Amino acid sequence: MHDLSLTRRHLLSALGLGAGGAALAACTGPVSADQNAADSTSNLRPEMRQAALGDIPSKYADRTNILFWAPWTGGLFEAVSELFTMFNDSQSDIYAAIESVGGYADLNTAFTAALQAKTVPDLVCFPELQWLQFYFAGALTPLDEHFDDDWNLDAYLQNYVGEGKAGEETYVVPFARSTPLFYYNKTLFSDLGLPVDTQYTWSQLRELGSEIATVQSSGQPVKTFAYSGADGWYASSWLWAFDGEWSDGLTVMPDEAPIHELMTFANEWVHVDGTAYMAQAAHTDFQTGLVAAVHGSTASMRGLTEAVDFELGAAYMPGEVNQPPLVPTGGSGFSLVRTESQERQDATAELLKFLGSPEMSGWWHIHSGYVPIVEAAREEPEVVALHEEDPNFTVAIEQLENARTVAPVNWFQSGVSALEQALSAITGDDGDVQAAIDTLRGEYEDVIADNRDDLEALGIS
Amino acid sequence: MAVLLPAVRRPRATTRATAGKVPRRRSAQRTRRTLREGLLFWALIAPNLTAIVVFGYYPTLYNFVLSFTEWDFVQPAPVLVGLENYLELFQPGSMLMEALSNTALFVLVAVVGTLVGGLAIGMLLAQRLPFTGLVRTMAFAPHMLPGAAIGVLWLFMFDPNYGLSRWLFGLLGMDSPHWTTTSDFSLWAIIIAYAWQRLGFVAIIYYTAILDLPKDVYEAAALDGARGWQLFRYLTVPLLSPVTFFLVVTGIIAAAQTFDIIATLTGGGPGTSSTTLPWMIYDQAFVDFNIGTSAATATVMFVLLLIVTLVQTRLANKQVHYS
Repeated sequence: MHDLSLTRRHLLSALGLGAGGAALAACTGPVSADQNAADSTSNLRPEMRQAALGDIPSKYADRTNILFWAPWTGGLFEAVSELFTMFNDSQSDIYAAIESVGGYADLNTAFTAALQAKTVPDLVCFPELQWLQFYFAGALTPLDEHFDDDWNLDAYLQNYVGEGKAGEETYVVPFARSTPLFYYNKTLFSDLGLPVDTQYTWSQLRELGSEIATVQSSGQPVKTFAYSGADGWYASSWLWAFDGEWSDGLTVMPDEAPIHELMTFANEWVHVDGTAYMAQAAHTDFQTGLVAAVHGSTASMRGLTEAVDFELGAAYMPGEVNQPPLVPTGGSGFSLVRTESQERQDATAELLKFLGSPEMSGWWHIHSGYVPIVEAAREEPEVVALHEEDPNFTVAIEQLENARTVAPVNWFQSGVSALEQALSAITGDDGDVQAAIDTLRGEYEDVIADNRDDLEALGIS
Repeated sequence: MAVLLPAVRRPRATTRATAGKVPRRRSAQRTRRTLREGLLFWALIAPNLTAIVVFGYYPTLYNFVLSFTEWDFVQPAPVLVGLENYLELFQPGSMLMEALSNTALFVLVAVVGTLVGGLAIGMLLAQRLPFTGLVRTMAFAPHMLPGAAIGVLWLFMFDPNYGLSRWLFGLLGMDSPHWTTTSDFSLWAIIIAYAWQRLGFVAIIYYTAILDLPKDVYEAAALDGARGWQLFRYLTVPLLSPVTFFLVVTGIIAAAQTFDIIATLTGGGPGTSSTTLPWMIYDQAFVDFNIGTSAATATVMFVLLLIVTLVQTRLANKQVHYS
């Protein structure tokens, strides 16, 4: 006769057995290599189902439903939602649902989790070259088969097209693309008789520091420039101005002299002159008049223009050895997710075709501040009118000819983080420049080592 | 369960001494009852047990397995790399060493600071001065706020250009430190914000414990001539030791797991100056996508907290006075 009464020891044994089973289960990867490798040449992945769409408005019922996970909130999300509404109202076959998942980092996390759960959106929008990690995982499908005479890469600004290609195949079409700009308090500069609407150099700005500091704001001298803890993207332009490279192909910091010069400059501007500083919230300080100049994305122009109560100036990024310097391409583009459904992929391509029209590209430019990514959008009457009314938008477009892809080591978030830490050590802390460079070199080399195979597969050497 | 189990074993009085079918029937009844009670037990415990196994044991064990792999979350499957992640973590000068050091300082100052401050406030509240109720509510309020809100709030207070810090240091004729943008102050910024959040909780726990202290013991001590500091040192502190033990254990674990305040205040920076173990785990997993390193760091943190708790429990058996 069995005694079924449960003792503490039995319970613990049961828990241990359960845990052991869980551990064994855990030994199996979440997705087996075979599963993923199967039929990897196809643009379909039968196991990848569509994530939840939410409620579908009755007027859009009985259509092919597609889902976009948007990496925006606030005004940008409202603007892109309006574009989607225009698309949904423009035809009767497709319903494009849009869902905000937060920012770019949130999208990365959410999409990663979605791949593990095998419930994915049909369309994603990753910044710069972040799509590569998902391309190597076989999560994206080429767009080329959907191109035709009406919609193809020729329509887009060519500076941004190459970043979306792997070999001969296109995995990204540009959408919310940007470059950094130099924003300054034009009213303050004009009042002090300082040059405006010009190509600044970093040295020139540093020299202006003492004059700008004669003006008080909130009981303290106005600073000239605000660095921040997240300047990794802008630092590409800084170094191009000083005629250097963070990496040349797989070679990390091929010439250390310009980097040393750049970092010493930033360090002395903050900790010797004291007219630049490391800001907690640079744009907030700029809006409140505490600092005379900041850098920001072209996408910040709309928000800054509305937020400041002085005349906003926008200029090319400051130069130094090189004037004007190259500027990094930024922002994001659309990628088609490799799902189970050819029908949904075709429908998503129709959406991209709609968004890639000059009219929609111009509308998005006007309402977001991102560059008009379709060449012909610049001729749209509303865009022409906007640029006549506010020449700052024209500056953003004219600088596009200097836009380049960042160095390969900064394609990876770990590389950008390492760079930002090194710059923080110089501008936030009064750190030793050479020590910061040495640390950065080590971390950069780790980034390259970790991603060497992938980079070589893309032809980087 | 405590009610059910003894019932199974309870000796039953037998009034009939006759042998044969009756004992067998009783035995069958007992078996059915035991079975029924066992099923009831499992039915009652199953929801919680399932939750513990699925959300507690499984992630912990899976994390342990992942710590021996290299994975970026996106590739189809993790690749086994043995002890490589652990060896890298324990190299001199690695980020783990700085994170450990930051975590130790953060936990030590936060726990000791809140215990001392909380005890002082608790004793003041126990004096039943005017507005005690209001002060008690105000002291406890920060504990009700989410950590992210605390972080945003202190971000404004620490701002050297227009924050409370500027005004405060201005009174002393000094410039405000750049709390969140310089390495010298960033860790102290999150310690202050965290301590401010937890202080009210500790104070209220001490306050209620102080109200429950036995008055006769104090009266006897007073008759023996004990006064002020002596009463506090030799009566209050020992009598509060169970509460202190509880606050130390929960305080260390809570402080060591702090994440939201760091995320909103400093993001672990500048550099890695305010990177603690939880932030490093997040940073490795969701910024650098080094899942193996992140899992190994989480395992190290788990083991450390386990050791600290075991040591505390051992010490408690010797030092804590429950009566």
